[in-house]
Order: sequence, then C-alpha cells, then structure tokens
Amino acid sequence: MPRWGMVIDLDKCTGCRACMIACKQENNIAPSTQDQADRGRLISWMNVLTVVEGDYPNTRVRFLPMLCQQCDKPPCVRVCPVGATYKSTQQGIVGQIYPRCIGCRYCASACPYQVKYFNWFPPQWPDELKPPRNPDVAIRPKGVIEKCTFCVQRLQKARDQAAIEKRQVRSEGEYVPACVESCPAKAMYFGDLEDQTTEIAKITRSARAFRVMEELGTEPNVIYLKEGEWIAG
Amino acid sequence: MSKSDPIGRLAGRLVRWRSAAVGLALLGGGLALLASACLRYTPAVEQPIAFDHHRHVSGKNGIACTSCHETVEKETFAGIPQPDTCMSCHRIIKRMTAAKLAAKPELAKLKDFAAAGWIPWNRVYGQPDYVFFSHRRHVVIGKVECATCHGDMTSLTSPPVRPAINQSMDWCMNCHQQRQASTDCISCHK
Amino acid sequence: MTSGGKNNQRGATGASSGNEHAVARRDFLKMVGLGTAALGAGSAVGLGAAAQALNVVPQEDFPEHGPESRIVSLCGLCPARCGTIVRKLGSDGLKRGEWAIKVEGNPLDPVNQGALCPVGQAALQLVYGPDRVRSPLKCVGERGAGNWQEISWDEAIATIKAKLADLRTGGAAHTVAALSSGTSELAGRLMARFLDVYGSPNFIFEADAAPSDGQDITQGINGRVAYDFENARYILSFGAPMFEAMSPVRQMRAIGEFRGGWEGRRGKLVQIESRMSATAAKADEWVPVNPGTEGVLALGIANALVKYNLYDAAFVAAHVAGFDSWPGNESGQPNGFRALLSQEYDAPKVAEITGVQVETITRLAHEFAISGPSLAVAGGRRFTGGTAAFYSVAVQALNALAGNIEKPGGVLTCPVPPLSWWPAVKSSAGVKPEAVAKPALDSVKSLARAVWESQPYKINALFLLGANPLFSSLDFPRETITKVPFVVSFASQLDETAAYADLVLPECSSLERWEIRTSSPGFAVSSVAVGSPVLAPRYESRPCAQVVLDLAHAFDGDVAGAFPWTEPSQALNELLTGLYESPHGEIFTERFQTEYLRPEIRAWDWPARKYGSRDDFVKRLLAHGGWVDPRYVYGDYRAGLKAPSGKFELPRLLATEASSPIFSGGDLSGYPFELCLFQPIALMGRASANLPYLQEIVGGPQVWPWDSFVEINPKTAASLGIENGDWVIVQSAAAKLKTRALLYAGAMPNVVNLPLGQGHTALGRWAKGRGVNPLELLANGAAPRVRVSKA
Repeated sequence: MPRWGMVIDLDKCTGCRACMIACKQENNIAPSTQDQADRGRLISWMNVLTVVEGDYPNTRVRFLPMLCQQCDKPPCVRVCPVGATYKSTQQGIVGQIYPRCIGCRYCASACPYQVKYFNWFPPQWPDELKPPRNPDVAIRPKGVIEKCTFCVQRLQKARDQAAIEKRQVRSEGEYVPACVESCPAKAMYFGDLEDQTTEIAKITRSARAFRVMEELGTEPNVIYLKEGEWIAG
Repeated sequence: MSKSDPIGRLAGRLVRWRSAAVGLALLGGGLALLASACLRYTPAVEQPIAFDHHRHVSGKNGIACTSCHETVEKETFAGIPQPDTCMSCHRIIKRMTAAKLAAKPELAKLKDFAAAGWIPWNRVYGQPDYVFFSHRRHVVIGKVECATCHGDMTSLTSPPVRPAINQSMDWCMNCHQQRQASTDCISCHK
Repeated sequence: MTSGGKNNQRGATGASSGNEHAVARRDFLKMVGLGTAALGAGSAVGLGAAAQALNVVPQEDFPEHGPESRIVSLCGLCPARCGTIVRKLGSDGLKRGEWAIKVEGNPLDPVNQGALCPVGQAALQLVYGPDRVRSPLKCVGERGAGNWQEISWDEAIATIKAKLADLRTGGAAHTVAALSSGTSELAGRLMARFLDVYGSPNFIFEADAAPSDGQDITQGINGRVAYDFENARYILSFGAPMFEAMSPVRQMRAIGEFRGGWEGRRGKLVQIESRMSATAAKADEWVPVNPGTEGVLALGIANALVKYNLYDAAFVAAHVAGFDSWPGNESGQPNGFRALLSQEYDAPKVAEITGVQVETITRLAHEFAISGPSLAVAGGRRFTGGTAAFYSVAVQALNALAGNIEKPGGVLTCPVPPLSWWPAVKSSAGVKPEAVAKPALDSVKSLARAVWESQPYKINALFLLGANPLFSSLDFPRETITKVPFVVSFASQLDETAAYADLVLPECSSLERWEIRTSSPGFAVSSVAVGSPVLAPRYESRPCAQVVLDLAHAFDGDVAGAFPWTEPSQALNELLTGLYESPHGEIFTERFQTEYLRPEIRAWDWPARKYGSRDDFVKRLLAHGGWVDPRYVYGDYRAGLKAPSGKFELPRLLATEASSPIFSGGDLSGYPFELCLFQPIALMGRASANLPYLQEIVGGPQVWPWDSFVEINPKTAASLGIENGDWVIVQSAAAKLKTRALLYAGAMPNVVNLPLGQGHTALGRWAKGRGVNPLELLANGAAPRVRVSKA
C-alpha cells in the first residue's frame, strides 16, 4: 500500500509562492477579497509562511511552506464527530469528505499546523471566471472544512489509468500534486515513502531532514530539509 | 374569556389555526426533505428527440451500447451520440421528402439537429460534483454490465425521464463491498 | 392585539381548560387535508428544491465537456516566456465550449524545465478575466475621458492605415514609434519589420523587457546578457532580483543547482541590496548598502582586487581595453580604470558612501577572487542613484577583472539560433531618402524626450504593444502621452496608458495566439520555443501579430510585399526551416536536464537528430514545444567581445557619469529617509495587479495581500511612534502617499521600502484604486528622499 509523502527542501525554497497559486487554480479555491484577507479568512491550502527573526543587520528571514502534513496520527481525525475526515490506510492521505462535514470546526482547532480551513463565506467567482474551474475537484459550499488533499483527484486519475494498464501507480513521477509540479526552484519532491528505491525515500534519510513539531507525535508525512550553509574554500 | 366574547373567540380560533398550520407546515417540510432524501426525487427530464432504445438495441438491429455511447471504455464519461453517430446509419433522412418526414417526426427532428451540428441532450444520470466515477474502470476492469446501473434500457421505447435506479452511495457501496472493490472514501470522493 | 390577545395565545397553547379552545377533531382533519393539498401542490417545486438543497452544489456550475487534451504553449506574462502545457477540456460536440483549466510548465523546455512561477500559474485569470477589452474601442471626445465606442476591426485597421499613409506620404514615416513590453516576440518582430519597411527606425523595448546589464557598452552586444549561474561557485549580486524578476523560474532553479553543489562544492550567494529582499533572505550573506550606491561598491571591490593583485592580469592584458589608459583623456582626470579606482574608490571613501565596512569590502574582494568561478550580477529596475549605465558597467567590470568572460560560470553571450530569418526589407520607394537616415529612438527616455521636446523629431503616432509607460515609467508622465497626436494600444486590459489612446485593440492572451521565443533573458542556450494557440480568441480579440499583417495588407506595394503571409503561423513556420536543416540541435526531448549545462557536456559536438520530412519535423516541434542546441563554445572572444576595439571595454563613463545619488538643489533635511522601491514577484507582469490570485500573495518576503505597504525598520518605527499596520504618510518633495506600515527587521534603519505595482488607476476592478504607486514620489525629478509620519 503506498504512503504518499512530500519533501520540501527549505534551502532551495525562495518564497515565490508559485505553489500557492498552482494549488488554488487546481483545487478551485475561490479568489478572495481584501475584506476576507483582512479578517484572516483567506483560504490557502498551501500557505508559505515567512518567519522573521533577529534585529537588523542580523536579520534572518526564512520561508516555510505549510500544508496539510497528512499525519499518520492526525489530531483532526481524532476529534471529528462525524467522520468527515479520516486517515486512508490505503493511500496514506488524510481525506476530507465535504458532504459529511457539519462545520463544527473542532478539527481546525485541533490541528497543530493550522492547515484546516473553514468556509466562512460561500465561495464566489465572477461569472467569467467560472468555466476554467477544475471539474475534477468539488466546489465546497459555505460551512464545510477543506484542506490540502495532495491533489487526490490526480491520484484518482492515475489509479484509473494504472488499473486500465493492469499495473500499480508508479511510486514517483506519475502522480504529482500541483504544488510540486510547479515549484520553480525544484524544492519539492513527492512520492511513495514506502518504496525505498525512490529518490524521495533517499532524501528523507538526509541529515538535514526534519518534521515540524515532531514532538507532538502526529507523525507527519511531509518532511522538510533544513537550510544548508556555505563553508569558505 | 367568557362565552360572550365573540372577538376573543375568533381571535383564539385564528391563533390556534395559525400555530397548527405552522406546525403542520414544519411537519410537511420535514417529510418532504425526508422523502426526497429517501427517494432522490428528481424532476422529470425531457429529451429533444424521443429516442427509442428498444428499437435500436433489440432484435435484428441489435446495436451494442458502446456503438453510440462511444467513450464508455476509454474515458470516465460514457458519451452520448451526436448527429455524426446517428447519421452514419440514418444518412437516408437527408434525402427524405417532407411528406415522408412528416410521418416520422423524430427523424425530422434529427434532420434539423444534424443540420445544426449538435443535439442538446439533457442529463438524466449524474453524480454530485464531489464524486469521481470512471466509466471505463467499471466497464473494462469491473466488467459491470450497463444494465446493472442504468436498468434495462432494452425495453424502453422512449427516453427515461428519471434514473431507473437510485444511485445512492449506499447502493454503490453495496456492490463495492460485494465485489471487494475499494471502499476507501478518497477513491471516489474528490 | 390587546392583552386579551395575549391571554388568548396563552390559552391556545393549552394552558387553559375548556373545549372551546381545544382543537376539534374535525378542525384537525381539515387542517391535515389542507396541509396535504398544499404539500401536493408545492411538491413539484418543494421536493425538487429540497433535493437540490441536499446536494453540495447545483450541477449546472460545471459545464459539460468532452475529452481533454494538453496543448503546448508559451506563457506571455513576462519577458522570460517560459514554455507551458495547458490542460484543456474539449467541447463535447454539444458546443458548450472548450475551456483551459490549468497551466503547467513544459517539462521539456530548457528554460523552465516543467516549473512555472506564480504569475504564470495565475494566467487563466487573465485569459478569462472579466475586465478584458472585448472589442476594438475608439475614443469619443477627449482622450482620457473614458468615452469609448465599440468599432469593427475593419474600421480600426482602416483608421490606422489612413493615419499612417498620410504620415508616410508627408515624409514623416520616421515619426512613428512602437513601444513593446517584450512579452510577444512574434508580434514584436512583425511590428519591427512593418516599421522597417514603412520607414521608421523606432521599435523600442521597455527597459526591463530586454536588460543588457551593461553588456552593450562593455562587449558591444545588444540584447540579453547571459549569466552561467549553474556553473558558478560564487555569485556577487548587486541588488539583482534573482528570485523575483529577470527570468525568475530559470534563476530559481539555477540557484538551487548552484546551492546544491556540483562536485560537492556548494556555491555562495551574496546579495548586496538596500533591503532584505527574498533573494537577500535566501542568500548566504546579505550586505546592506545605501540605496543607489551599488555601483560605487562594485568599484570599491574592484579597487581591492587591483590593490591586492587578486585579478586576472593575463586576461586583462589580452582582452580588456581602458584598464591602463583612456584615449583622448583630459589632464587632471584619472587616466584609465586602474587610475580611477585608486584615486576615487579607495576603501574608506567607498565605505563612507555605501555604508559597507572596509573589512567587508576587502573580504568580499578576496572571496570573489578565490572562490571561482565567480560572477558579479547586475539587474533590476533602477530608480535611484547614479545612471543605470554606470551601475551596470561597474558591476560588469568585476567580471572582467576576474577574467570570467566567455568562461563556464561567467558572463556568456546569448546564442542566436539558426532560424531562417525572413528576407530583409529594403528602404522603400514610398519614403523620402532623408527620412530614412533619421536617428533611432532606443529607450522610453529618448521617446519621452522626442514627444516633449520634439528632439530629434516630433512623434506623430505611437503604438503600444502591451506597454503601460504611464504607470510603470518615471520618464513618461500623463502630459507626455497627450502630446502624441495618434496613439494605438494593443491591450488585454484597459490600462492607464490605453486610457489615453485613440484606439484600443483587444490583444489575445498567449493561450489564444501563436507565439515564438528565440531567446530567454539571461539564458545562454540556443533554443527556440513555439507556442500553439490553445483556445480561439475570446470575444473579439485578435492577436497583435495578425493585426500587423492585416495592417500591412491594407497598404499596397512594398509594405504589403514585405508580408507574404495572411496569418502569423505562416510567418512563424518559415523561420523553422533553418532549424530543420541545422547540423546540430534537436527538438525538445526528455533528455535536456540541467546537467547539459555543465561545460564539459556543452563542449560535446552534439550532432543533430534525424527527422523525416520538414512537415514531420514541424509537427514534432509543435508537439514538444521547441528546439534546442545545448552546445556552447567557451572562450570564443570573437563572438563575445564585439565592441569596436575587439576587447572588453572599461569605458570612460565610469569616470564621467554620475555614480551616486547626489541631487542638486532642494533642501533634503526635511526628508530623512532614503527611498527604496522593489518589485514583488506577484506584481511582476503588466497585467498582474488585476489577477486576484496574485493580489493574495503581494509582498516579499512578508506578504500583505490586497494592499500596498511601506517597510520600516522596527526601531525606526518605534522612534516615530508607529506600530505594525498603522496608516502612515510617506512624503517626498513631489507627492504625499498614505499607506500601511509594515515593520520589518530587513529594512535598513534609514531606508523605507515600497512595493511597485499597486496604485493603479485603471486596468480593472481588482487593480484600480488599490494601494499606492510609489513612483509618484519620484515625479518631476524629485530626490528619492522621504519623511514618514503616522497618519
């Protein structure tokens, strides 16, 4: 059974936020307004955080692309009263089932990464911007929670194609979420973490690898690589 | 509140009626929702041509489903025939006289649509947008017969106005469990 | 009702006894009957509505569609023009339309190798933008008043033709100019050809569309300078926006490679900049420098290189002119680059001007010398401090001192692919000979001067190809455009300059037109990318390339004769013969990887792949996106050093041009802060401000969606009593702007930073009236100095 996971190399990430836009376009996230943004209601399944530390001139600025970590022990799943979110043991993805969600937002509180987004408003597109929406992704109404799904619609299509060809989905390269595909700095890797022969599995064994807030015991499947350092000579 | 207070009694009766009516309306509304949930009530769908499946599919004509629903083994959607497909057999209507066409109104309609280039079929079977369903997977891999999900179309002499089978999630899951196909939510929910 | 009613209500709820208030059985049955009847009558509506309500969203929102396809195209939102693949839903024969639903990078394109920046990802919001110009518009009444009449294409072209024909017969063909933003190469080349045969020398690129970074002066190469980032080991960037502009996708990947290390050696990136940009944040070292003094710092480092004998003396002796002396030098002036450095750019003096410590200058010079291959990079738009020429040349000088010209990891020359260029046009019979010899205008500045002062001649007609100088250029205030008698703008959205046009012609997005890319900024690989149209032009839009052809054919004789094509695709197709016949190169295949940029691999004599007929070749090329020849001949100084001397020029302008922000006149004491303007990547393209997805990520590195802001150092802000998010006034001698304060430890204490790209007064619903345009602070030559106070 595949366990889909992602590696993000923070050394290469430039904070360009192409991943955010690619995700919004792929997953039918409606364009926001200034009012929504000011109220902190802007939905971005992939959210690149900027961390500023220190004082001038010893300022340190770092980027942290934060998305659903697809935890193996997801706090959001534990607290959902209706089973609208669950851990798929077959794919390793934490699924989000919109018709089941009752909008209690317990999961949004429980998630330590703060990557569950609630639709406070019905999503609105001007008429002209409606046709280019992706028919492979549901349009969520007001009142439900949504989050990164590792572009599960692409997985569904890959599995469909693989089934016709009487094989399994390839561990790397065949199924790639929109963010990974778009990254200009090639800072993101995606694949089946169970398959030890993939490039991504090798990278997860890097000395620079870490997971965010590992001590909470969520066992995330998104691994980050620490920034490197230049050594003179 | 004495017996001799006609206005009061009228008012009382009106108020009783009102609150009872409200209660009944709520009950009725609730029943309606429940009914529609159970029955998946859909409004009747009319088609631009009164296509007779029985005539085309059974007996000596015996066209296979895939001849007209061409993409059912190749795409997630089954496809519905457009004039090109129909005209491959019905070429002759281009030359039929008006009198002859008057006797066969559906063919007359087809002729008009063929000139326009498309037939505006209306959807009967559909899933909500949060469901991923692949025809080719079910037909080619699952080897599911068309009739299993769409009912027996061979006996229909006019297009169905509503789905013959209530394709609820329960109904899908039943078959998936029996045949040990995936019951993982994210296999179908998108 | 009176209290009696209240009592009755209480009674009706059963608090009292007495049968006259209870609901009689008969009454009850009546109510049920009525209710059921109502239910039945309303059921058709009610049940249906109820059923709908249970669905998450009504199905009508997704149009029916047919099979999908992936079409190879080119992004047109910035001059880098990355290759793209567009996912398209076909019409299902029900003619419910074809739709493009996602744009991805083309994995085979050597420039972006499958990646795409945020601006490219938001492209569909331009293609399907509700604010697109839908038909040709003619101005009614006063220009700029906003009264437009929709006209037909025939009328538009006839109007333009009449105007141009008049000018031509009157001997004023040279008074026509075209200003291009560089995003449509096919249209640009056809327009340039049109102007050629028509009799005008004035095809002008907006500065950021074709940065030469001084290479035109030092090496005589006009066009796009190329940097071999992938093979460098040390990059000294003087404020160049490596991750925000130029060719962001390719640069981000290149720096990622540079970082990852080749042969195990990780490269060092040093960003010298007046604020901590995203590039500076990711660099290994950020060197804060006073705004506008980067060129001075470059010469300070050059001084250290020469002083400590850390430069490549052999290269300088053989291939550099102007190092030891300048011809025709006047006495009293430093004679030669070396003399200039020692007299004017010693470390303490440079330290004082730039704010960079002497130790740092010396250290950077040593690192630059020993960490080779090292690359000094210029770039970005400059609004403050010295002339752009001084800055660019000063930075390039470092590359010459390191001997890193035409070497791996150094400054390279963009190769010209072997296309079969269209036959040259000759100056035509319809143009008077003396007009042909008029000097050409080559920049927005010279164009503005021609308009305003009629020097060297008046401008009678101006074509704008996606350019919006009223918004984005300091040299082009509104009054300038009103002085041009006839203005035609090819625009997808009605921008500030188009608002003052006589005719606005709806331009297609890159998904709706044929497109070609023969070089990409900064990329020294010979490649040609071709984009096919994905969609039919929306509304009445028509590709600019097509309009040029239509216009040419409206003329007869030589003008029409220079364009033997009815459609741009034919013109494009002709170019490809040379690629087909080339003894080297191949159509994009999976094989091109960054490894192919390694010098030993580029030095191979890559043979051409064999293809079938020319038609087969073209079909394959369109399917894969283009053609590439990875070879590069390093050390070919005949190709790389094209100045008249045949050497790398260190020109005298380094001594004579203004080098640092010295502003004459005006009392600057009331303006204690220096101003630094920067371009966030989200607002990089001309159309970006009206794409809502991009407004959501405005900023850099800290994001402030949907607004402008001014970055202030936290300690400075505290001293002014300003907190994060407060409204503040930023005032220069020219203007006063109100915006939000964003406290940022990456802002220098005496510098405030404002983002460019907001403050539109046109362009569309999401851009208009949003934020402030900081260029207003520099209007009329005002010094880049401001005061900041709480509003």
